[in-house]
Amino acid sequence: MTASILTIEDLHVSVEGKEILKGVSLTIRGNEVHAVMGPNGTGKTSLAQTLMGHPRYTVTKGRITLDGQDLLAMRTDQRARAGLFLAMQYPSEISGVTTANFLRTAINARRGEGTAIGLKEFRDRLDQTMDQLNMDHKFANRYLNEGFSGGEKKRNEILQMLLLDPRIAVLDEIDSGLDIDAVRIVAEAVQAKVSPAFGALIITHYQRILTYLQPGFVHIMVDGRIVRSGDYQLAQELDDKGYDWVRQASITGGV
Amino acid sequence: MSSSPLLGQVEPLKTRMHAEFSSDPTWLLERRSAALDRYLDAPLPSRPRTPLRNRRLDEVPVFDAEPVLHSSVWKDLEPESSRLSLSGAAVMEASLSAEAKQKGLVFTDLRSALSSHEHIIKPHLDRSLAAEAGKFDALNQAWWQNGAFIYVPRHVHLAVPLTVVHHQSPEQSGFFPRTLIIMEEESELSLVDLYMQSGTGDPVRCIASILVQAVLGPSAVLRYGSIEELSPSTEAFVHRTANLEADAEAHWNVGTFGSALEISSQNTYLRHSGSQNHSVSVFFGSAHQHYDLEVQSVHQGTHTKSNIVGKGVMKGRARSVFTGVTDIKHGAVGTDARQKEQTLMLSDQARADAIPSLLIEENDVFAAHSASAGPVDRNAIYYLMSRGMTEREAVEMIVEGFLAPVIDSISLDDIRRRVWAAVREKVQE
Repeated sequence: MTASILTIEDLHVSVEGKEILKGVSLTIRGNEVHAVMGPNGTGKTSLAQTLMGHPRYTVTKGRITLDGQDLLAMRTDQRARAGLFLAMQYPSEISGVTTANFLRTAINARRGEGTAIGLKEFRDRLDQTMDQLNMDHKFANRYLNEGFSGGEKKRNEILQMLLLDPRIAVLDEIDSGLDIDAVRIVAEAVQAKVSPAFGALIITHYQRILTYLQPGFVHIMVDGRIVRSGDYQLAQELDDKGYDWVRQASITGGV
Repeated sequence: MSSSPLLGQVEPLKTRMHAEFSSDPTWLLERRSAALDRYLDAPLPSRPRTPLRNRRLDEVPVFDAEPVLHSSVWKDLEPESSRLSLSGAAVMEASLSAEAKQKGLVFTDLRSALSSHEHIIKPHLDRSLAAEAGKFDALNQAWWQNGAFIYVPRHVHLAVPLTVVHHQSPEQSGFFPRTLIIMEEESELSLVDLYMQSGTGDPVRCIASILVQAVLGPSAVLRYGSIEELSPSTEAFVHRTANLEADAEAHWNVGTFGSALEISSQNTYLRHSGSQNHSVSVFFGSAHQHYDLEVQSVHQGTHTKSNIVGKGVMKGRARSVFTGVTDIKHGAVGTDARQKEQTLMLSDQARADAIPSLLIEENDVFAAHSASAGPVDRNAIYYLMSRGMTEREAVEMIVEGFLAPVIDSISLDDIRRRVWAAVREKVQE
């Protein structure tokens, strides 16, 4: 299988006429874990949602490609079937639809016609993956995200990521709402998934998950721009000095 | 036969009615005449959100063609051991299992039962309607051609559901089916009551008035399921009523999917202690369909129970009003009455109202209700699309999830299957 590659070039995005992203460029390849960090309201979630094609976000300039395909020309579902995955910060609750039924439908949508997963294979993979994430099997029969705690929803997002087998996964604040053990489990699951056919973009406020994941690339976002990029050292530096340090740096133009 | 009077033409209607039903017993013909007078005198049904005046209902012919029978309709039905299929006055099929016959159950068309069971039918046929009979009930009482009659003797329990198919071809303009159910003490019945206007002809404007009456003796249990799949040019008035003796239970499961307009009332009278009403309504409107559905529980006896559930989906420019009425009379101590109405709107042009109405004259009761009507969650659609489903698949999944808890609670397999099939057809429309 060819290596995954997601390319974002000079991305400008507006919401209701207000520019939120002001020229973001990033390349994420298979085998790579990237982290985007930054204070609240700086455009991190907007970047994630724009990649997935949320209708609220309007791309005014720039290009996004996944494995060479023009992502911006695709609908959200086409992007998903092409191999993009977004673990959402606030997953929707779908009443009356069991998690298992949803997962099977989603796996089959990703696989395409004529390659539907067999019931036995599905059940086995589901059980294994739930075990890997230390999830109670009863979640499979509960309605999707309905009444799930914050942490349960986040684990469910990772469960979906593992079962849908994307080429690039964007994890938006996957660590919020998780206790320390869960953060480790999730980080290990992502780490185990990394391969030439899988790369990840982790969006977070906190350094904690990064200590487990040790991303090769760290980017700091302020006011709709990536103001600094580096390796894992940058995350540690940020943890020591705080966001005011990068804010200052971005105002004075020192990147 | 070709020149049919219109519903507003008084003298031609009377002349035609006497010609049409001249062979009926005198008492019945007299009742038809009286019903026709009531129909002509009565005001239009009063539903604040469903104005009827501009529809010019009196310009529709009462009958405009001989029944046209389409054999294809009957072929789609699975073989059943106990089924009655009616088309206009004609009985297309009548079968009853040996077990049911042997137990003394009567399952036949109303016209045949008039001669064989007149003594049972005569006192019940219109009595239980008296209290709230309206203009279009009277229209049915004047013009009904045939219907289903079910009599369950004391202590008879039937394991297999009976099925009634009321059919009419869509090129006919008047549809007046009725079903009469009489259950004696401690009897148990499951009934699938289907209303269909299907066939190959071009649909004409049709007025339908459907009457269903059930009389439940002490501790009788009725499981009733019905699907209305009427023609898109039909304006339908549907009235179901049940009278319950002590400890009797009515379980209503009704799916409404067809017709241009439907105004329905379901009235269950919990006359004596310990009787119960469990009512489930599922409806799905599309295009310009307009539904105004009312389900009422009247608590008169002590320690009676009711649970009204109404769940619907509106798409296109469809419009729905679902009203649950809990009516607790003075003296009905220990009543437990619940209702829940929920409607989901799939388009900005669809409209839905869910209205709980509680009339309580007694203190020592429990009454609860919840009602909501809202648009489909766009974020939920996006969430499902982000997992690879198309927008249509996402909406289907959300709609099915919305309706599943209610549809899956229907205990009659055939009705549950038919409701799911109708929902899937509607959502893909």
